[in-house]
Amino acid sequence: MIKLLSANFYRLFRSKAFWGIFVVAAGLSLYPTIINDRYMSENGADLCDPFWTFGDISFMGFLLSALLGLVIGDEFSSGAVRNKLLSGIPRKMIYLSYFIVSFIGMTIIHIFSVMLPLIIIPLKYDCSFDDVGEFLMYVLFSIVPLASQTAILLLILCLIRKKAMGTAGLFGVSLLMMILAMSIAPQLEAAEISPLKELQSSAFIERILPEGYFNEIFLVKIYVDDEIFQMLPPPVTCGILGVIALTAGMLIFEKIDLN
Amino acid sequence: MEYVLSTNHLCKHYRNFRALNGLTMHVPKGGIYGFVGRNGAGKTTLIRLICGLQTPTEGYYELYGIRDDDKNIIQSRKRMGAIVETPSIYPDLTAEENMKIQYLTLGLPSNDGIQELLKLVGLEKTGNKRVRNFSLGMRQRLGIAIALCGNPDFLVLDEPINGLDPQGIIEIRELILKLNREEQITVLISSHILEELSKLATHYGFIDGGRIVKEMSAEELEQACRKCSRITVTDTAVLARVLDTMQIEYKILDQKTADVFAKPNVTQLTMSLAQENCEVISMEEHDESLESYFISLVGAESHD
Repeated sequence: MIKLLSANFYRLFRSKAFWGIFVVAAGLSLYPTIINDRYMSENGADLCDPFWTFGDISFMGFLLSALLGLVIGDEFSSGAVRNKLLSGIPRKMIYLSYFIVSFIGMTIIHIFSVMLPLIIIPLKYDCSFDDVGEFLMYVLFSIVPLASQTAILLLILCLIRKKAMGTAGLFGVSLLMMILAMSIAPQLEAAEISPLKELQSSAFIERILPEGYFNEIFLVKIYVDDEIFQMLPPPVTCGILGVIALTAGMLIFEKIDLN
Repeated sequence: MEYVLSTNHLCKHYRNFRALNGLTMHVPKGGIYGFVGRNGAGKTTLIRLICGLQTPTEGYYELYGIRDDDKNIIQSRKRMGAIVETPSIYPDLTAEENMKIQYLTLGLPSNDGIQELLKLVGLEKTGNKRVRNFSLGMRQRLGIAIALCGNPDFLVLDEPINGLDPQGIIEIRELILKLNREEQITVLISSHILEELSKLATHYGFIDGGRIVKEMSAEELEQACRKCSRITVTDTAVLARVLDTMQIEYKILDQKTADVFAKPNVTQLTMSLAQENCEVISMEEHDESLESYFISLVGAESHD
């Protein structure tokens, strides 16, 4: 597994797509506080709130779609997956390595793009952050929906197995998930969630969907600034969905006919 | 004879389409096996099966004596390299980077062999040139170099000369011969360009409609495609007697037709036959090419 991961990471770090997504994600995080700071200040935003640096998270589905479609999709389109099979590597290992590489690759991009403005903001505005500890918890928890979304999108890519069509398909799925999560978010914002109401279907969907969880981290925290959800249950439900998607993907990849 | 690959009534069905329909073949160790068939005959499907990309619907194959349903087939597969349809390469990387990825995948301890392999396929001077800027022939050669990582002793090449210019075809042909003769690598090469295969193959398997219609050695094929004079006479028994007397090699095809594998003295032959009341009805040069032999095996009509 380690040799396969070495090969896949070697490929990832030589991919222009990876570095392109890296730059886009950093730009999205820098946008609210560094690039668009004048507009934000005029509208009364506290630029020293570290949560603004989560700018990439609303677009995480699209960034991940691009990474998976262009890097892992290329494994199918270029036929590189054949070389791995002929090297005597079991299919489950190959699939798992694709998941690990995409997930870690995207996590690196996410952490860097979140941390970059965190370094620049204090220097530019001469301020310090009050709730860095809480912020870091959110960063940590944001990795769970990232893993979950990687598993879901990889499963879909495994069914399409083509670079261009796969990328387009993943963008479509991400858009659908975003629309679904966004349509549910207002209900949650308005709700005073009690343990019973937490089981409502809309809340369940919101929390099981990675996009919904991203919403909770970003939209709910930033705009509502209210502790409307406990920190632990959403990552757990979201994580369960990720595990199901990953297991299903591995089982499908084991049986699927490759060209 | 020791076989690297043998298949037994191998079938692969895609819904209602039977890509392989009870295919049985044997690839002898140390040979170059020409896998001949028209487009859609099932060549690539077979290669996909033995590479582990797909699983058979029925039947089985053995790779180095290990059946495909045995867990150890993965170990057998490590002993083979393959190009299926197109070379499996990353177009945005250099030749050396592509090789490094394969080396890492195989867990080879050092990259020392990379330059050697690139030199073997004539790509040692490509430097930082991206594979997307390579010619088709260069890509094929890089694909072969990648397939050779880990020192396989069985190489499977699916239509490796498709789309190549004459120079590219010669380069690939010489490379395959070199690998077979100098490195003792068994090669399975599929193609529908029969004349090109005839310059390489030591054994042939003719496939049509998903099954092998004939397997033969190069010597047997040469015999079947030998230049001859086809003579039609009133009685081939008399002709046989006369040709025996003249010490000429022949093959009786039926009661009136025979192939004569030398240029006989026509006057002498005709006169000798006339003396025994045997009439020569016709005599024509018969030179069966590989193509016409193939057509005679599989029939001219297409199989859908």
